[in-house]
Amino acid sequence: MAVRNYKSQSRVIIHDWNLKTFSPDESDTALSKSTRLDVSRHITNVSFSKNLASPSGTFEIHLDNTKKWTNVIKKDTWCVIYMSNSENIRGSVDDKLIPSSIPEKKFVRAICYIERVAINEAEIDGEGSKEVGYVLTGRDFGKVYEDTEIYLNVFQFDAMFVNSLSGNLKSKNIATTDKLIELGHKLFFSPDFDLQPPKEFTELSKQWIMPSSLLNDLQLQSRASGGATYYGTISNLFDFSETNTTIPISDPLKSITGNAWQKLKSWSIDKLNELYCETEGGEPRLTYRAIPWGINQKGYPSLAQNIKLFKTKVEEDGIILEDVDITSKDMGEDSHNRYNHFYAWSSANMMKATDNVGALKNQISKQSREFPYVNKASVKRNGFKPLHAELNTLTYSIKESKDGKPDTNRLLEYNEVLYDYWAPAAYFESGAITIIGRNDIKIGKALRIDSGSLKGKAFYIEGYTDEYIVEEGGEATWTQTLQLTRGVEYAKLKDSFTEAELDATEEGTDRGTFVED
Amino acid sequence: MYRGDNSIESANTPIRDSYSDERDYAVYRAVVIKRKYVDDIQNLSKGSVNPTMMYDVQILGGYKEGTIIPNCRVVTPLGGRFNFSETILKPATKPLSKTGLHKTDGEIVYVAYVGGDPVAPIILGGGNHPLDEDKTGAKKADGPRYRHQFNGILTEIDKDGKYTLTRLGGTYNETTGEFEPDADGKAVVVKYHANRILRSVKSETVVDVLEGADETATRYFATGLQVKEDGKNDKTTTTTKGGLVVTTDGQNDKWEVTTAGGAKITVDGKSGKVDIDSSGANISIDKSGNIKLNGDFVDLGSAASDFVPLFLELATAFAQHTHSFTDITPGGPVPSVTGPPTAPLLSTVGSSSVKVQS
Repeated sequence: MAVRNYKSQSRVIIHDWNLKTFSPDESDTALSKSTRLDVSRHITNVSFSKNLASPSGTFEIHLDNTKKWTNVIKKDTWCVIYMSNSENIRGSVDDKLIPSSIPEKKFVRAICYIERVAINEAEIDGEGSKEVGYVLTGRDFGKVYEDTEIYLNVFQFDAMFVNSLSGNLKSKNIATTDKLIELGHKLFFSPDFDLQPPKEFTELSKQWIMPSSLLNDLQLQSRASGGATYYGTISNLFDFSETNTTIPISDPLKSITGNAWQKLKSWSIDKLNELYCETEGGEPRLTYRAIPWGINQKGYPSLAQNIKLFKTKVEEDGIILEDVDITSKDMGEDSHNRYNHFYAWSSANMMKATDNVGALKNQISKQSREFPYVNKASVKRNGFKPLHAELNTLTYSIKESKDGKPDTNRLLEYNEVLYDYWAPAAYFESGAITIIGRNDIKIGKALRIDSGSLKGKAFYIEGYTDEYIVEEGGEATWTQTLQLTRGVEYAKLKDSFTEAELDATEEGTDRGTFVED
Repeated sequence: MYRGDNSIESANTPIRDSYSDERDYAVYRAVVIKRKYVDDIQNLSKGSVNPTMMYDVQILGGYKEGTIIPNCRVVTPLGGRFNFSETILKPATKPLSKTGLHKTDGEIVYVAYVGGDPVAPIILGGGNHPLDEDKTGAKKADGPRYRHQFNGILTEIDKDGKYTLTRLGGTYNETTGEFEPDADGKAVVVKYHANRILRSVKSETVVDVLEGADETATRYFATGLQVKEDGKNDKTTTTTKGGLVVTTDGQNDKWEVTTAGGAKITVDGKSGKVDIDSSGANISIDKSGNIKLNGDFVDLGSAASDFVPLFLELATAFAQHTHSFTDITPGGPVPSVTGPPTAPLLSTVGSSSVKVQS
């Protein structure tokens, strides 16, 4: 039996602003100055949760009652959570909370923003004894997107700037959503925005100045030269891959008032692409890419070049787990993801009358699958389970053939992509496993289990919860509960497959024979 | 996301309600800032089976003030495939940031998104324009009325059901691409009242009045000419500025021309009489076909120089006239006189139908 030895450690370093009060015209330098406060010795519990559905994760840090923490730590400060089960991340820390060492970036679990500092008191026995503790709560750096409001009143700004926004899309040949999101991100968050916006707008985009000590600890560089570093100017912030989807609406940069995350997400065509926040190598990252779930790409040859095979994903950066690393499992197939009618349409239907099922039906003679596609046998057995997706993309206005007719083939391929992702989904497993904590566990990564009851299965990490608990006596444990989807026998992932093949057991297509005792 | 059975619903599930889908169900007040004809390359419907006008609008007021909504279509009145209506909207000629909202000349509209989808904005209708100079906004005294104006054509139906169509006049400016109304206006006015239609052109130089009660149609010219058609009485009367009056009376089967100078021609079908009167003279033809020329002098021919003889006088004179001659019987020539003709002047020498006054 395999055995693992581990020693769980966690550090929490708070980056406290030096300037507690400030004038409206305070300089960037003064505003960004911060000092480290290492509260690691006082941790009783740290938990951090993150999932693909939300840009920000949430955390709780429980501290002992050796100090009145509500006087020491204030909301609206940044902090970094480090964890390790294998290497020593503790440095020498004195009671002044100023650490002598800075943890390595590889131990970073979360870059967080404290939103509440509270005292917890609870009676522990019936005789009035109370357990007192403090809890810090908040969200990770994804909060920046959730909480940023964009305000562009074109009445106030020079018309040339407003027109230059849409002109910029054309001049930079920006037709795909990845380029649009990157440009929009710079408009929202980067005072160094290269379109040279008017001063009034630049002042509004200067949001989320980063604390100097955090930048120093994480060695984060600014893309802009000189001045303080804002979140939007952090170098290497984008982890973007080229996508096939084209801009969803006309002149999107002229209509940006509203919530930043909702705006970016609305541009992302989230039925086909992923947009999420996660740390990588101890640095914040915004990731945007086509969902890497390709299995059989013959139905969408032109889109396939930008859609990674799940098999490749597992091979390239799949985290390998052994059964010994897993402390509990709740994993299985479910019927929730069974779909037997596939129909993808584009909102651009409203713009051109020729984008309709009738026109597309005439083209599908070349395709192997009808459009819309219906698996009649599955409907008979399992009921009508539609996967109908509206793809808000203006493909047809950007990419037009010489005769002015829309590129309807693109819509057919989109439908094939959705079929490829979701037709076999009924056979994939989903659920949760609890493992000994690892720093390479991130959302959007693949996982492969090489032993035990889940041997040979690959999964997609859609969420996790880190739990670091200090037990009585000082021993600590760090565990992670992973939310996994796309559970499939890795060996079955090949260029072509049938649903029956996916459903087969290791023994082959035969399910085995049940013999009564 | 956990389900109740501990399975996980993927965040990438397409049919899951995604908060990221930007749906906006609000209705916005906006001003038209750009107009795209169907052959404009920026018109997204160009090249499609049913290209349509598209507009960019800019939101006025509220949190999204200033937001530009591109490529809006306009809702149309009901009518289906064969009945239709199209009104081209006017964009603001100057950027709003330089003009001020209260001075923009662009059309005010209300905009919403179909299904809340930002891809499909539509213009639901128009709004009062700050510069409309009280052209709309009925007072109590006005009652329920209808007014509509486009490119200088003003249509009004007042509370009494009187319909007035007024062409204010104007021209299309090729440079600006806009219709410019005339300063003095009112090129054509058509009014439909209870039993009366009035139609006039610019400055009322020509006015048609159709009276239902009288069953008349009268055309007035500013110059003074007037043409009246009386259906009830089957009669037309044309009166010139100079006073010439021509009357055609179908009821009485009569046609009459009267000049300002007093000369008159009357053709009376009932009496079968034709009269020409002037300066006291009269030429008439009666029912029996008798023609009378009644005047102090009658000239027949273009160079009349001698008078017409009277037959009876001539016959009498003939019957009484003698001839002098010289009798050359023996005894010497003797002047003598013949006796009157023994044969009278035949009546056939005189006309049996034409008589003249002495």
